[in-house]
Amino acid sequence: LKSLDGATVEVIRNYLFSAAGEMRRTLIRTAFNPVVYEILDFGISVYNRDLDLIAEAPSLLSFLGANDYAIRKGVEYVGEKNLEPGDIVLLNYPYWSSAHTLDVTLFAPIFAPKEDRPFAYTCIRAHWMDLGAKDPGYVLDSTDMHQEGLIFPGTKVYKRGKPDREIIELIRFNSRMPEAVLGDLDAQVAATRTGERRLIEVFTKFGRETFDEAVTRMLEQGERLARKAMRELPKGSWSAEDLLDDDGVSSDTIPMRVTVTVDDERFLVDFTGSSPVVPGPVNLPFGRTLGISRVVFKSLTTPLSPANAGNFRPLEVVAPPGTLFHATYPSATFTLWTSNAQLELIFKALAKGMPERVRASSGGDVPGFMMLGTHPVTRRFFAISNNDPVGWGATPTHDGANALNHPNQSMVRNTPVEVLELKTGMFLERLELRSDSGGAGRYRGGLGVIRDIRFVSDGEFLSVMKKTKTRPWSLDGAGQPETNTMVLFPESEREKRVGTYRTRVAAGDRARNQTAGGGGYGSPAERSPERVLEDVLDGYVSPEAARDVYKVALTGSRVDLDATRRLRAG
Amino acid sequence: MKKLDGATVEVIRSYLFSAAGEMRRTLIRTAFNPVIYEVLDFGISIYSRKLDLVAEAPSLTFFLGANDHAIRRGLEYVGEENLEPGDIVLLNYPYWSAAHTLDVSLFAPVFAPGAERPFVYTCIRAHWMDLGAKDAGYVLDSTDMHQEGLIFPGTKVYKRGKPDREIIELIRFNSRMPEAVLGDLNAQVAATRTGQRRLVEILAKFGQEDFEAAVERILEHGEQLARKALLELPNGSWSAEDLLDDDGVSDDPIPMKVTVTIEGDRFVVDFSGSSPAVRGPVNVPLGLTETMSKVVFKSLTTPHSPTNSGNFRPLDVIAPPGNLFHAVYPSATFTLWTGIVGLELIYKALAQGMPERLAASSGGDVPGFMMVGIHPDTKRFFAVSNNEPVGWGATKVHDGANATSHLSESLVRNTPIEVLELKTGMFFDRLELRTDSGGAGRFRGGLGVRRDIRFVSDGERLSVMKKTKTSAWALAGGHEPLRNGMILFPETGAEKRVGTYRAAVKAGQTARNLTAGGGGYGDPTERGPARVLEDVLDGYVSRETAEKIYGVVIKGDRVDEDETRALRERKKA
Repeated sequence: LKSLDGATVEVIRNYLFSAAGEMRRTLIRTAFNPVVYEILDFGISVYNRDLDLIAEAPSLLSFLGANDYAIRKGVEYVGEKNLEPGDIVLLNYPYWSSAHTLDVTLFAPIFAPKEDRPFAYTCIRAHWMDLGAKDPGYVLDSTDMHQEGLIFPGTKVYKRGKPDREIIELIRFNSRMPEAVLGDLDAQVAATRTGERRLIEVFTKFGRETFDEAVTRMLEQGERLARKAMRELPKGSWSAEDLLDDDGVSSDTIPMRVTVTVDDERFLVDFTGSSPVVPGPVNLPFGRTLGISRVVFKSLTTPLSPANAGNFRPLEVVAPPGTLFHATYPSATFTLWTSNAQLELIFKALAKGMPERVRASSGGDVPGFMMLGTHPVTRRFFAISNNDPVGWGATPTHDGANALNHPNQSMVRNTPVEVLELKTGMFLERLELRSDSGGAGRYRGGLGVIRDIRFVSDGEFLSVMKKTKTRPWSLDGAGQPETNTMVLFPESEREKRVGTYRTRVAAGDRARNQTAGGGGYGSPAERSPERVLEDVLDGYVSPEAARDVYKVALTGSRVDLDATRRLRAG
Repeated sequence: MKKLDGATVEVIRSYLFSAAGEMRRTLIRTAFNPVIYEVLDFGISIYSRKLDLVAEAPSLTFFLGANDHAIRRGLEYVGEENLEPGDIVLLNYPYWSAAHTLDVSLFAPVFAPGAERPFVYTCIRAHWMDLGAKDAGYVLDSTDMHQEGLIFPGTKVYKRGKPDREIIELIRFNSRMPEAVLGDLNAQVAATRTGQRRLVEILAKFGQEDFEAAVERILEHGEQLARKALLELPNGSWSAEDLLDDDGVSDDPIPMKVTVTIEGDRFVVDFSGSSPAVRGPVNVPLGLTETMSKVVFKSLTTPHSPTNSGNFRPLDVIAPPGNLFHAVYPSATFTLWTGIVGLELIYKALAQGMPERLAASSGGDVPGFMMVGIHPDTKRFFAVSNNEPVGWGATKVHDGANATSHLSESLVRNTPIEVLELKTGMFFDRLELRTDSGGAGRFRGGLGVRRDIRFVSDGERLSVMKKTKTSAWALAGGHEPLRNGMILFPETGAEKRVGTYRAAVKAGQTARNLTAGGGGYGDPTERGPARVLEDVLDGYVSRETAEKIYGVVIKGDRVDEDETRALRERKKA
């Protein structure tokens, strides 16, 4: 094989990323439901013929890694020899697709003109609105897969470029929101076709030999970058434990454990020691565990370069089948929130070995909520969610950021207030930073938010969060932040604080989402009094917390230095 | 068209019934699950090109009528022009298939060699074991269709004679019991192919013209028989009301009302006054409401001749969309038991106008139970049910039959004890007639049964019955029978009497199914003392009831004539 010049490799690499980017724009422009076009709850990946990731478009992080696993299982199931040009395959069998049933993966082989075998694959995962699970919206208490909706094990929805009427009609009849679902399917198909055109273009332009060589070089470079970065990481083995709130069926907390081992060649993430699978829907498919481990590994090694499969070659992930982090049929997997706590758990272990490279906990979880019901104006069924932001953790050198999407979702957006008010029966009375929610420390954790919701129509309201019973972790002696909590019917006799919960609501009822702050770093008594004063003036920290926690005495809008010195000495 | 001789018509008619019968035998021999091959929970029908029923095989009465509705809706959806030889279509969208999701109808066009249009259709409905509904086994508390499993709106599972891999695989992955379900699908396909062969054969033998003429004659004859019988029925309009226990979600009883009107050669069954559709899964698709009405109508007019759609031409069924008896999407329909209670309701109305032609209530309902769990020996998932017999109602001229499958299921069988013990975690301590359960009367209602169940493995136990809070009805001064009811954990601190209910059970626990008797006919004190004595000696009636209700005093194994006379006079006074 001839050796390619670096410039051509780079041109092909960019071509591939542009193809992924164009798929992304097509999807956003054509999708029917706001979870796709507003929140960007999708994942778009391009693979070579050996199913190595060669390009992806920025979107939901945990979807991207999940695609890598899903496409291998999907092609294995369908058989490469059974794929023909124009075929498009649906996959949402959770143990293969590495997500819950509503995250439907659609993959397609790409054939160069007159070729027998595909030279690349595209994969687009997007969150669909409904596939006839036991409950509309989110399923919080399923006890097996079959309660979680229609399953596609790797079903050709297009055959040789033509839609299969039987499958399309099955989807239509098995969904509570068939127009939205088929609209999103069509959007995924449109994006697939966009990708197909661009990939055939680049393949034809450069020819098979050059294309294959460039791909090989990209993957090698991805691997080199990762291995080089790994050499700079501290070596050792560190464990961490945490508790997930419950499985949605019983109220028992669920122990999670991880051990991360870093040596010269290998970055091993081992979840052995975590709980066995539980009856409720918080079990994670193994591909998801792999995806989350990749997010952590990449953030430590090659955070600034686009991902390809080479990046992950030093990574090894272990979770025994039948455990919380490796669900097998028919374990329930719908409430994927476990993966939010899981991501933080890996960081928690790493923080013991490399505290200077890792921030404290960022809220511990994603505090989501959803309303579903019949729309007061359109009279049509809706189910719309939002994942509220949290405060990010502090580091040895700076405060955590306020009110950002959790690190697990850092490439996606929240649902705008305008969309929520237009498309649901919610009116948002207040959305503000939550004072004192950030963990106190030399560097303070970022602040979570308070969101007050008033319902203007009847329906069902769900809150989804799985780490509300124990606090997120801090570093180096800092204070732990407040946990996420949903307060239902606040300031009424029915007031109730809940984590993951489904309740009926009537017009006039209210709910308040209080989201967690980030963990602090270092002792709060070492924070500079001027910074504490600024926090108080900004409303981030209350005067009481300034005095009691940070030991800073304030007089009006000034620091009383003498009193502060006395407080800090005492 | 030439005029066919009656003998040829009869030969073709019998040929069609033989084809249906052969389909039936193929299905029974090849099905995987005992609900089909033991209980006969299926329905097999053959339709003309215009979708008139021309022949059927004896099986679940309700399924036969449901097929008539289903094939019309299914064909309307798929479009006749889209059907090709060898196609087989699946349908279980409840509002079209006229049953719950697990009763899957499979219909197929039958083409003569080289023909472009089908000349007949076959339809085979059978109860499948699981399609991934919210719960395994029976769903008792769904609140919409989507909780009730995978829906086929009219899905070609075979195209031009070949299975569609995508659909077969979808079924495999969406069922908790894929081997049983695909085995039963294959059995339905095999039976369909058997029917196809025979029907093509008959067409070839007699030719298109004679075949079609014979079909017309068969239908006309069916209609003539029905109209003739209808003329002998009294004219009038009668209403009846009853209460269904609940919808499985709330505890509220659900009012049902029917008005039956007979006027010359029209027979109208109207459910307009019944409850609107409810949240839980007791709503009935219109096709099933039509079927209930057909069963009643046929039993009054042409009970002895095989069914064809000519029989039903005088019948009109009314139930407004959104009514309990006309469920529309997305109303939950899984617990079809309303159809059973609804059937009796129609008889209850008619009994006011023709008490001499009808029996009193036959238990009011079908007291079913089911166990689901992991089999102690095979370690595989099972879900096996049984519908227990009830006592049938008494008539003006005789007692009701003891322990017989309910009217609505009179062509199906129960699940044998051997099958239940082999395939589930249940052991049966006792199965006997339930003394005093038959409604007292001049003619006594038949007796229900008592069945004592001991669980030998852990699992879930379901009982399914929707008329346990009120008693079944009697006629002409007869007494109401004892009700259906399942007793969970009898003679323990946890004892509980339930109707439709799902409960986890552990090995060693017990349950007792008590089934209703039939309603009585006439004043019990008019029953011949010798008959009462016989009932007491047989254990059908207790001595206390003989004395208290029938006014018959029994000493040893004889009637004390004097005391009986005195007692009955005192009772009259």
